[in-house]
Amino acid sequence: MSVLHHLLAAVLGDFLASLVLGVVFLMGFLTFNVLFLIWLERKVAGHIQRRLGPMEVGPHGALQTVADMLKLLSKELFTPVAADRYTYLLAPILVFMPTLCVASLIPVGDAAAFAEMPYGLIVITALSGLTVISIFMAGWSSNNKYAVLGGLRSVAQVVAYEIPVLLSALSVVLIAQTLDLQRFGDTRSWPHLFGLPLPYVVVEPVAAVIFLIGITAETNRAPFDIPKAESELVGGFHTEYSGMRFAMFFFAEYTNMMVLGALGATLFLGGWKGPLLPGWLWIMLKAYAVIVVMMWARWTFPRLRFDQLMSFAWKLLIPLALANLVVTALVLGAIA
Amino acid sequence: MPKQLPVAEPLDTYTLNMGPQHPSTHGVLRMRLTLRGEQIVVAEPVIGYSHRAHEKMAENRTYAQFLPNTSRQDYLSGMIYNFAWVEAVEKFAGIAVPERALVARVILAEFNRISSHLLWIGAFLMDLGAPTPFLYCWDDREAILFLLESVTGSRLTYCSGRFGGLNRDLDADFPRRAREVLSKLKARWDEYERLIEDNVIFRSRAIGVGILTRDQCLSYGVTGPTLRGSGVPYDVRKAEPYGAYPRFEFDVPTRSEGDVLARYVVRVLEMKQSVRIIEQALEALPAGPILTPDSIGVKKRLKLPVGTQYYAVESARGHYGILLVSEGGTEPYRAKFRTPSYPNLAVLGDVMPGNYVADAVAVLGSVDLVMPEVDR
Amino acid sequence: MNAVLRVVRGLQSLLVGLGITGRESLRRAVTLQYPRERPDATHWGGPIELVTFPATGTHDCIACNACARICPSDCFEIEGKRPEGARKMRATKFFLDFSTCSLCGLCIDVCPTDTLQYSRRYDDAAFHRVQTVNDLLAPFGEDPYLMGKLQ
Repeated sequence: MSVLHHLLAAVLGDFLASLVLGVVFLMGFLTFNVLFLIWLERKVAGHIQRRLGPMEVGPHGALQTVADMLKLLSKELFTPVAADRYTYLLAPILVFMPTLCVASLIPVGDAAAFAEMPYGLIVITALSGLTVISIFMAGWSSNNKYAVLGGLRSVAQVVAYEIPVLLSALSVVLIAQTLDLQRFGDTRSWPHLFGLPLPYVVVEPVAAVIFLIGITAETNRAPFDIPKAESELVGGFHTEYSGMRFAMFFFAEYTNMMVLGALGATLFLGGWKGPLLPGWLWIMLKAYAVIVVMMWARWTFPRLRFDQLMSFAWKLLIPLALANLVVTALVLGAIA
Repeated sequence: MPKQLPVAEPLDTYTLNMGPQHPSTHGVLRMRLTLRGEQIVVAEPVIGYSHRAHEKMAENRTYAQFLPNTSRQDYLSGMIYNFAWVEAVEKFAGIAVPERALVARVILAEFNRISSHLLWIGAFLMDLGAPTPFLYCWDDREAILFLLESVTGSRLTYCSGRFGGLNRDLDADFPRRAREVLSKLKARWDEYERLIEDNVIFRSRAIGVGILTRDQCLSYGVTGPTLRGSGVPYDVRKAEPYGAYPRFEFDVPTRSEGDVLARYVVRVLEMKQSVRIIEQALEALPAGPILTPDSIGVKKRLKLPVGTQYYAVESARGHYGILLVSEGGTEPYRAKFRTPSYPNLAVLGDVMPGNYVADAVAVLGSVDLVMPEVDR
Repeated sequence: MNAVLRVVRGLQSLLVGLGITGRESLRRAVTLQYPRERPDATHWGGPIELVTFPATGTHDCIACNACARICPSDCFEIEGKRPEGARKMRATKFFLDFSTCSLCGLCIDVCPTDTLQYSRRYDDAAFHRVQTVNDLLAPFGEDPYLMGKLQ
């Protein structure tokens, strides 16, 4: 790694070398993860539904995602005649940007994150709201009523559910006394039981559940997948996208899931800390645990209707998250 | 045409076409929705995409030759529709049916009803966004289909009814296998209730949604579980008994709320009543021939007396009626099929306005339409 | 208080649902991995075929065309020939267009010699429509009646 960095720095200069390496490595890492996640989703779905999932391509269907990507690459890329051309073409590319930035902030080791920021959590919250812009661009520029409906719904949904995510993260921030994600791994601030440090989920279960519900809604996954409700709106915001462009949205959804799952693991499950295994492996395992729960919920529950979804956020989750924050503050004040 | 056109600014509403190809319209149904934001203002069903001219075909085929068409009208209640045609002709021509065949028809028809309702539960939940119960229901349905395959040789579109009985007898092992299937089904009711009916998301999508009032149902001629979910306990098996049904004890589940949940609960309870009927029928299955000799209508030509006759059965969707007009020949002069999904679909034009688009899908699914039987 | 109870019961129903799907995911899948595993087709009513009677080792079709006359979909194409000195005809050509057959079984019921039956095939497939016309005489070699070996 450092050899590569030196080689590149000689040509491009230090900053650019770091940038290039970071982007390439991160994109590669995320891509492999997403390929695995898509296979995992299909297997989880299969076994929940008493069937096997992909089995033919590769051992137990391990190469199925690769085959699907190849298929999507070979499809015709058409642009609807009356579509807003540049917005339409730009949307699938832009949908990755915020996710990549958030991914670079997740710490994978004691001093290892691609970007170090003392106010990491605020930056993450600011960035995670940007994905919805590209979803709305996709919906609006498709010149399709179904797509517009999907895009509108997505905007309202993401805006509403960001607040509980932030509030529940704030509850943990109050205990950890820091906004720097790197410092969440400092076990000195963790609650201790019989001398053993325990991750924050033990003392903030309500916040953890709210966070989980919030990130399910942020990534447009069931039971909050109204924006792309297949049985109602055919395809929602990605109705008019085919081939690789659709693959970009699909990809972005799983990347978003991965990154937000890793965020949840960092905040609540203890991040990269854990015995025996290296840090990056722990964060991945914990992120996958969060993601498997999200997948499990997707294949079990029906979809919430849109107004129910919104009233659930504004009338239940946000008051609950606020109450949790107040209770946390009071308890911390009482202890100190 | 929709009955009332609301007064609205032209820019206020837009037209959305839930087109013939859509993941949630059961079959090829086109709904022209006029929406204001997400609220439905006018809902107009457009039908005819699945018209195959069954009634015309009936005029050009002998009574026996029409048998394969019967199952294809409503392929989910294929057995019931097949037996309805057979029984209509038998009644018209005065053909006697042996006891064993009457009871066997009840058993097979009730199994068909259970499999139709199971499929409906799965498809309805899938419309609401939960794909998993679909697979569970199909797994249970597989047991029923395998049983019916062992009797008739077919899994979906059956042609085992003949004038005067059935074409193949139930083998000696059938009661044992049937009871096995029933016990497997009965073990599942609890799981469905806990997974679906108690689920808070399902309940919030289903309670108070798509209310059909009693008067709306009666004025449109809605029948079946859709009607029984609105408080009218009308079931053809009780109102105009046919076949061996008078011998068996069963209830007609009715709910008065008229919303989506009521229709769901009515169908689940109906499945349990069907299980009850089958158990009684298996006990009461007499020995004897399965078909009156003569192979009427197949080896010998069948001519019906001149006249008009109406015959009705309770299919999984409601009141299915056959009007036969005979001029004394080997082919009907006119066969008119009163299929339950036709008025069930028509009433939706009245019910949908005021609901959200997402509710449109739920209401459409809850009425249990099969488009091919609307268009015939 | 009522509202809190509703929320708690709602959450409980969700957890129960998760428990059911979680339990199902640990059970064996019911998938039949075709084509490595084959379904049980012992009672399946597949495309129509001619019966081979053990006594004669061949079929018993007398080309009476009763099946062709009763078929609602006009699937049959039958020709026959009377062997020298015999009273009954034998089929020399027996085509059944499977693409129009609805497996109603009326031909099986009407046959006077009971020589038709459902086969157990479920995976007949073809690339071109002409290939859907089944030659029911193909499994039988030369007709012993027409060769004069049987009467």
